[in-house]
Amino acid sequence: MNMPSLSILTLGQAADPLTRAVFREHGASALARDTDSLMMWIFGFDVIWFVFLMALMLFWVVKYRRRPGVPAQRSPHHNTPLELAWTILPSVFLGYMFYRGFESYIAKLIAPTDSEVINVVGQKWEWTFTYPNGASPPEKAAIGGNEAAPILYIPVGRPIQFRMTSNDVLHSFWIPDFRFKFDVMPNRYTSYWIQAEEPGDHWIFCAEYCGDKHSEMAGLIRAVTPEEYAAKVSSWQVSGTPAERGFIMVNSKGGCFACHTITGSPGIGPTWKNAWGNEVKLADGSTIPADNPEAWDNYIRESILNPNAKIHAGFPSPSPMSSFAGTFTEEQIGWIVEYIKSLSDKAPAQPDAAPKQ
Amino acid sequence: MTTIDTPHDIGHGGHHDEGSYLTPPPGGVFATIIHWATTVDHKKLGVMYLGAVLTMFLIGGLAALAVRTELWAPTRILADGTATGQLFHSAKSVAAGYQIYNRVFTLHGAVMVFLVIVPGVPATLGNFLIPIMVGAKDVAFPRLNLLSWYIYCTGAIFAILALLQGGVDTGWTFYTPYSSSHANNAYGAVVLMTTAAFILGFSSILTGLNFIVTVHKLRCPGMGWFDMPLFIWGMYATSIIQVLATPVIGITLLLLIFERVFHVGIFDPAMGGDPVLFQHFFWFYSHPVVYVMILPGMAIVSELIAVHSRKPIFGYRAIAFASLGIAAVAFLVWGHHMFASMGELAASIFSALTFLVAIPTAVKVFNWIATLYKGSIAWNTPMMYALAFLFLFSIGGLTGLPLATLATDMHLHDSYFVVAHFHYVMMGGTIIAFIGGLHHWWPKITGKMYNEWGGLLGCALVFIGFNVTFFTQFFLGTQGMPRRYASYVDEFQTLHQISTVGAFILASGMLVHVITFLTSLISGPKAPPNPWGGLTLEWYTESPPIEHNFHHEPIVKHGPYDYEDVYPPHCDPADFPLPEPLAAGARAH
Repeated sequence: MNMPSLSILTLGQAADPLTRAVFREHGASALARDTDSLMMWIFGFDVIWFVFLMALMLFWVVKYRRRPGVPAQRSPHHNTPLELAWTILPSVFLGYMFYRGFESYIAKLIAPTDSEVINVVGQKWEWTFTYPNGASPPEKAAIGGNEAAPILYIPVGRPIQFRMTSNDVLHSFWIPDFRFKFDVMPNRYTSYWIQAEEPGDHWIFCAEYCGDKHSEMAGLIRAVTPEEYAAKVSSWQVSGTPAERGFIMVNSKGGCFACHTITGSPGIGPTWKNAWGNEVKLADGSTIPADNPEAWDNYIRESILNPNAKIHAGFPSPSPMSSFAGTFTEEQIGWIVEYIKSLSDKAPAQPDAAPKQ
Repeated sequence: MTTIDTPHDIGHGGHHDEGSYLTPPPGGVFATIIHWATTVDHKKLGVMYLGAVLTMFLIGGLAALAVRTELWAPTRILADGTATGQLFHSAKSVAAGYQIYNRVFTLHGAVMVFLVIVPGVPATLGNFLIPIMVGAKDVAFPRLNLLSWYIYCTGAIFAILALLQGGVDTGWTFYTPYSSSHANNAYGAVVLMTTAAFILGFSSILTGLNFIVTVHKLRCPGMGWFDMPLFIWGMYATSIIQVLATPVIGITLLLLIFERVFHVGIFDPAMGGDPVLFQHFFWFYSHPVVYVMILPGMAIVSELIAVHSRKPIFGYRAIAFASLGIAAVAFLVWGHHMFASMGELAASIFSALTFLVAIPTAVKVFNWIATLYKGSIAWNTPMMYALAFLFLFSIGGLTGLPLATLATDMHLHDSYFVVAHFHYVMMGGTIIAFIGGLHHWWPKITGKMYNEWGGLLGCALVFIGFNVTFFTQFFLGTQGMPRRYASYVDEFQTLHQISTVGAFILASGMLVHVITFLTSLISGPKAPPNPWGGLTLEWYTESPPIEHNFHHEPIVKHGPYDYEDVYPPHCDPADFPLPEPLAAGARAH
């Protein structure tokens, strides 16, 4: 007698074939599953109407196909009650759809007041996150072609609100498993919230076209237990030597490795290896002289705040990089200068080397 | 029962002996070119537009095939820094390969929207048919019509220049601040492309104006508003939207050019502007323009279904008013393109208004299907295309519902679901109707018949290929595939590959049509004046029509769809028999 209830329980956990075909997986929260059920209701409505209309059409097309010498038969040219009925009846269903959609949309948009707020910054072509304690997640995952997509840890069972803004163009923060997205804009905060129910990984995609590497602007939400979450986030609080802190800044907060390398071969932007302290030719013909620490420190700071001020010869002008003014404090820019300096053969010897990526 | 006042049978023109509009003038090839280049004849302009639009359709279609081919496999970077799965290789970097993809999908979208679908039906079939269908010699302002043509050509040249400069990677929507401050703008390609769209807008406005005045002022004696064919109603509604909405996109694109060139802060927050303002401006035009694209398709389908099932259109007035209703509501729903970037109040209002536009659209579909009841339905290419339209457009319309519903749209917004939805509406609606209409009026335009089996084969391939391509994309969208991606996660590859196979089946169907039409032009049998037994005025004149359309100004004495009571002109009555006449005293419905 227990067998049927057992099999129902199993069905409830694994996605059934229809859900798998439509959504891959069940929605990751109660609100997401509410959207799924609304969507499946609309699809059901669509299928019923479509099959009815097409069956009628095909039946008549076959039944009344043209035969030589047989004329069309007379039939009414209009029928007011019928026409009123097929105008009003669908309107009732559409009214219901609107109401359900509105209700569920508001529920997913407006966060509970006790939500944990995570700052999300979009920039070409990286998501960066900051936790309430100032830490940013350093761990990376491979998603599609992006080998270093950031992993955003969140605790299960707690509402998480994203406070989102962009450093450059429009982006859109889409978490398909939670069935929600919202545009990320450069001149305002936008926000929505999610609440994970079980530990697991969920893709983040950028859904608003933002340029060359739009399709690699991915991330991963990793829902973990509150204990694991607390341990992770406190362990990432910024500490260490200035160069180590600089590495944390460029890796976790700036997303700089999307364009810059420390290998010696240039990415979209110049490589940082052996950059500091060596001569650089600029696009306007002038140079940053070798062995002039002050000129070099200023060049790095200026390039972070105003990437177009001095363009490295051989790289695109205007620069595809956006200003990081407002992203980094002056203190943090100082750490980044120290980190880039530590990658150079011209750097003064350090007692302990900075961590390499 | 004659319907128009024709003292002379055609073919025995008497003192009105006049050649077909296609008869070349004396003086050789050069004189012919000058004659066509300076013509104010709406028929020749329609044919020239047809050539231009089909050329642009080819360019846009090849770009679509390139996009689908690139998406056959996701891009992966190997240990040595090179990439696999990239059709668009670049020696510079993987990102540079993505950049080429971004330019190709922008090219596809911009060309298909601004150069093919928006001007497509009005400028070609509209130009050719509207004056003839209302019984006029030409449009109200023939010289203005010639000017529209040259403005279109100028716009097309700017678009091609932008292409030759390396192309634009903004997407056809030109969203700011990407387009105004960030996009790759080598040699001013973005400015050239927006200028092209700006110029093409003027062509739209002038054509729309011309059609409105033609419909108001040039209808022949006996043709009241409700004696007009539904094709004219659809074109009339289209023209109203074109005249009212197009100036807005002109101003918006001008502002974009100002920001790009003179750094006037309007849309870019870095200069004090607001990017969402651009979206409002852009969609205030571009949403009504969706109906500029679909209303002509609906207009064609109304004709095809009536003629080829030999039935009066069911609920003629409902369809006519639905066209005007759609045109009116079209101006109130632009916000549904921006649910993910606007506040809750605005989003809710726009969601509710969007459901409103579903009603007149659904009513039209019901009317078309009801028209088939008790008809005499021909199984030929135009009718099959009309049925394909009903099938595909119904899917397009019904999949609009989860996009109008707020909660579900927040998941589907900017995903492949949206891509599939608007292809079902734009291509499955407008382009499918356009191809059907092209077959229907091909004998009238060229004076040649096409091979029916060729047409049916092409139709079948297009229908199957279309569904294989785009039905899979609904599932990609619900599963989480964002649009405008040059690469994707492995989980989506199977569906992408099915979609790509479909695109090539679709292309093979188009190729069959090209071959059928070319064969018809070269060796097709001469078309009779009225091969389908139509009752609208274009079937009263010769195929191809004479220079001034009619020997005498026609006088309309019956409705456009009175197939139950009127023998069609120039036809053997045995081919198109009438039902029993109504008993004395009985009234027609």
